[in-house]
Amino acid sequence: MTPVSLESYLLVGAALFTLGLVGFLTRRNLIIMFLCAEMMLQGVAINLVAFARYRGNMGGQVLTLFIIAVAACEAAISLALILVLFKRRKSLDVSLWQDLREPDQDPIEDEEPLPTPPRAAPLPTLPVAGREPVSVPKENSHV
Amino acid sequence: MERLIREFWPMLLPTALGFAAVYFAAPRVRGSKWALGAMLGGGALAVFILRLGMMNAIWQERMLFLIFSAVALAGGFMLVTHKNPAYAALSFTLVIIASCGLFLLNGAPFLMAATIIIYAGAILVTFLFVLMLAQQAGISDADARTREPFLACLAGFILLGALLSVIQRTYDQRKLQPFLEQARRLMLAQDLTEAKAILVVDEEARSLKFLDDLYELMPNLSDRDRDEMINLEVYLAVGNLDEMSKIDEMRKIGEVRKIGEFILNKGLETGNLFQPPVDLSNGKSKPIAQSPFGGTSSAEPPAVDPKTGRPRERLPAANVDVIGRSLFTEYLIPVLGAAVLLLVATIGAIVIAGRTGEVLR
Amino acid sequence: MFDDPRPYLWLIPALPFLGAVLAAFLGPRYLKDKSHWPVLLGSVGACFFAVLTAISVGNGFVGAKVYYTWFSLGNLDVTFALRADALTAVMLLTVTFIGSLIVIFAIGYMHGDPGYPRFFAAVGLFLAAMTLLVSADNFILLYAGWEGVGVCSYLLIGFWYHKPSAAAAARKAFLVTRLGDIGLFIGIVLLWLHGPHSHSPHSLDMDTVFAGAAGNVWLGVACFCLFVGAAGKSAQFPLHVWLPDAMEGPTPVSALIHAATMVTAGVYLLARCTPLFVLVPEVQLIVAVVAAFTSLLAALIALTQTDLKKVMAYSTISQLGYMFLALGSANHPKLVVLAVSAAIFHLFTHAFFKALLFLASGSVMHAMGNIIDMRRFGGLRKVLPTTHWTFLCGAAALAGIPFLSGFWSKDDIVAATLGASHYGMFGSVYHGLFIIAMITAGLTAFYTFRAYFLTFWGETRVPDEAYMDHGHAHGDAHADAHGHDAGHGHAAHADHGVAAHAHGESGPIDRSKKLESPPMMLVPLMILAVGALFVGIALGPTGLFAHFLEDHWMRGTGATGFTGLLPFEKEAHHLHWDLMILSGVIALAGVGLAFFFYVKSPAVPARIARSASGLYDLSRNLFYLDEIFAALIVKPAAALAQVMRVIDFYIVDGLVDLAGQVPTFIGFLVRPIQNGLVQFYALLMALGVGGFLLAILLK
Repeated sequence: MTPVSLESYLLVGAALFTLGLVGFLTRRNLIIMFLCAEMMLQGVAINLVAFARYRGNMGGQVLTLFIIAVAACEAAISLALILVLFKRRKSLDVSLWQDLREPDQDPIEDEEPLPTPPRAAPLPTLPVAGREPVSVPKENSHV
Repeated sequence: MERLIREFWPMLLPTALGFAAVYFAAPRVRGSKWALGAMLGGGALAVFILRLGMMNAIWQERMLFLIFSAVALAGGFMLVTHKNPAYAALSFTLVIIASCGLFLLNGAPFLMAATIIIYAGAILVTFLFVLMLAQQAGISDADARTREPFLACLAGFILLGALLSVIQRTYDQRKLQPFLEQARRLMLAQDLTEAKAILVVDEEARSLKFLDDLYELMPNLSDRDRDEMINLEVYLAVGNLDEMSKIDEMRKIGEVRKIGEFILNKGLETGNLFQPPVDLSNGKSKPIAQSPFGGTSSAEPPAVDPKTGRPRERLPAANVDVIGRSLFTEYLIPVLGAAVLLLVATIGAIVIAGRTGEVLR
Repeated sequence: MFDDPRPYLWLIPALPFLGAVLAAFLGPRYLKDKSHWPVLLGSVGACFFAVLTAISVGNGFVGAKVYYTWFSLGNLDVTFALRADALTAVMLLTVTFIGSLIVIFAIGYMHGDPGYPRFFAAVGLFLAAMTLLVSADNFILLYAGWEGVGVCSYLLIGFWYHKPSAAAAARKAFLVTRLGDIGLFIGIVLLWLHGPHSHSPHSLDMDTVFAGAAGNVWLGVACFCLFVGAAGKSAQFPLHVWLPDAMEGPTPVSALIHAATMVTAGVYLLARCTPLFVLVPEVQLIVAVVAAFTSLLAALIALTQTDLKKVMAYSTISQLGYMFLALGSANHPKLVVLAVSAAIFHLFTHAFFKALLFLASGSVMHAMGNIIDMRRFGGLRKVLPTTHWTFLCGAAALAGIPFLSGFWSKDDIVAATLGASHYGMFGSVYHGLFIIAMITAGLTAFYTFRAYFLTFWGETRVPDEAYMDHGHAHGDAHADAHGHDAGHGHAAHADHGVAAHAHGESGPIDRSKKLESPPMMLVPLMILAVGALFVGIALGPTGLFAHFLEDHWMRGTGATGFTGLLPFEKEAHHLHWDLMILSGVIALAGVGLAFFFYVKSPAVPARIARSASGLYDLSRNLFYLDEIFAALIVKPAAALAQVMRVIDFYIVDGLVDLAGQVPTFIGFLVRPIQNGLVQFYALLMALGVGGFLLAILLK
């Protein structure tokens, strides 16, 4: 009986990598895009560790360790950048950032707006009883 | 083209199913067919797992491998297709845990622990924090849509299909497997009659069919290798070569066994599984170079165990020990580089995120 | 050295060419006013070697030498081969001697002109090309020289190129002679292709062509085409229209090119190809008829012109007609020697007196402040004495006054024509041509002396421009005085005369200034006058010239073309007394009539002009030939050019622009890829990688 073949681990790594690629190309939330990139790295890590086992070579595991370290740095910086971008446009949508297009192209915009959530039914109100008090509007009060 | 499909169908079928699954399940404005996508995804996963499972391995390892792989792939699917970003991030955690399981199966306990602690523990939590800060309203416009789902899926799954096919083609040993099994039994043969029975030798034929078929499957053999193997014909008296009749029988069977071991090693090497330098002189594997720091290095790969005919695996149990030693000796410079990188990233993140001057326009 | 000219024969074209190169490259910067030295030395050197060549030929040498093989095309060798025989020697002497004298004259005439080096470079180049032409031993080299003199003529006619009339005249000369050159080229090709030796490497050598002439079925057509070429270059009808306009160039140019040398290239060509023409008497008849018609036409036009140089130009056309008439009369073995040597002799003497007349006109023009309209000056014999006497010598020679050069050569020509009317085929036609020739002789005497009397006799009138220190842009003044208006008074010229000297200094007019030309200009005049007077009597009636040509060219040892064409024994040269008396009488009658009209009763010409106003206008306006050509040829060509312009502008340019639009269009198609979305770019990358992998997998 042989152990689980190297081929199997490689297939799983490849599948995970591709899932991450599809997600990166598809999702529009900046953070989710980044997570998909991380998933690609994870697929690669699986590959590396499998090779390390089947070749008896520690280099694979060491490289995986470095991948973790680099992923951490990458996450830090990218989150910082995402925060700055968020502060600009108040949204995590990556499609808002199209300024590097050709000067005579129109920006690509969404055609269908999100369906507005149904208006919540108004809360029941009590009928007015008695007299309305005379209110003296105060300054600096914003209601 | 048709030939390709016929050769690779076990890989292409789950790929196609997975493509359909992601396409349908991807978030759309007017609601995505999540259920259909999930079913297709399940189907893809099932086929994939079945394919992976068709191997000759210890059932424990096989079971664990399949479970972890399934969980990883399912978690990946959820990350890609779930509308709510928080759920997606959490399913990514699931992916990480499953792949850590795979790490453990591959004899990397330290990595498993490190990944869970650092990756799932620190990095993902940071992501979730930022998500919380940024998108308090829940699902936003951005999350509900996808960009070019069809083309993206197409691109990804073409890539996947190609990758899987390539991997399969490289590592496909199913044809070679029976020959290697015969060679392994040859290694353990007791006498010439048994050896001849194993190999189904026809003494009247001019050459050994076993060897002829083997040459076809292993086209990259060098002339020296073929010379080694051809001695099999001599010892087994194929073609009525009777020159060797004077040599002692015991000697002959010893030679036959050695050749069997050689063939097994060569076969495994062709399958790119192992890379042993086998010295045929005494049947024991001799390391080419000894790493002074102990533990395995690339110079001493595992070889075939002559007693059982199984490949000898030599991953050291003292995993942390070896990793540590490698890091600080062989890979010292990359470690220092990574340290600098971490420092710079820290400073950078602080500087970039800390800007409060240019905020709103 | 006196026996074999071949070692130095090549120097005769080479020295003027070297002079031209030096003048062109060193002239503008370094030599400036001394730019004439290289060319002068070159032409004098060439003259010296020409004399040596003549002596060698006289000592019996006839032959050729290949100096350099330029290239081989298939089995044709194109070589730089020069020949030396009597015809070549005579032509070389004429060209280099007259050329040197004219160069000396031009040193004085062109003094101060801003294009001084350019002028001498072009003149040197011309001398090189002309000597090459006359000494070429194969037709390709002859054609090269032919084109060379055409180019130099263009350069020199249009010397003052900023004058539109000069530029137009240069263009006209070049284009009209081009028409002739086409004929020449076709003729050469026909001679080459259909000769019996057309596959030999020497198939364009003259000897080969002459030897194979009898076997060439296209000989008639080829000879006719050669005559077309000669007619273009030597200004016969209808290709004569360029020569009068060519007077726009400086006068030394007119003297050199359009009197003495270039226009005689056609005569030389036909003389050289005598072995061919003798075999086709029909073509010779055509030659003679056209020549006679041309000479009569030109003489009629010259009767009424008021521009001195134009009179001389038409006179040149007329005399060239005489030469061709002689060549066309050589259609019987008995006549060949007489006719051909008559033509060449007339060429020789004509070079002397026509060059003299042109240079003297130039001297008059120089003195009169670039005015050449004869109505504006008169009685100049007191003002310009030396010029007057030299002009008189030339005019007398041209008119055919007995015992001067023109008399002897013209006499030989009419004798040949008369002989053709007796001996050869088409005798009656030649008889008619003989009569025309005599009439033209009378007209020649008349108009020549008309010009003389108008200029040098009568009341002394000197225009004001003569006294102004006229600037040295000679060109703009004189050329408008062509008789091309409809016969009304030339009021325009009065203002033109004043306006033209805006560049001159308008100071007080000093009427005591000496107007005669400097000695640099007068010495060549005097030398030429001596030649015009005496060269004829020295060489003509003594038979020296004719025998020189006969012995050392036609019957020469190396000559292969004339076998069977000449009578077995040489004919002794005899004088045709009756003809001499007749032509002498006619010439003197013409002179007398001119004297009567223009000195005794000056009112008579005006009266005749009024009463015969139709004929007068016809003659004055050159028989409207220029207008006819303009309507027939120039306007259709201009229309064609307009069509071509439209095609070029819209179609060709449109295509080019379209080709330029293609990258723009492709860019327009490709640009939308860059839409600023990161995911889109990543998608394209992923698709690319997938495509690669697929390609590898499918291989």
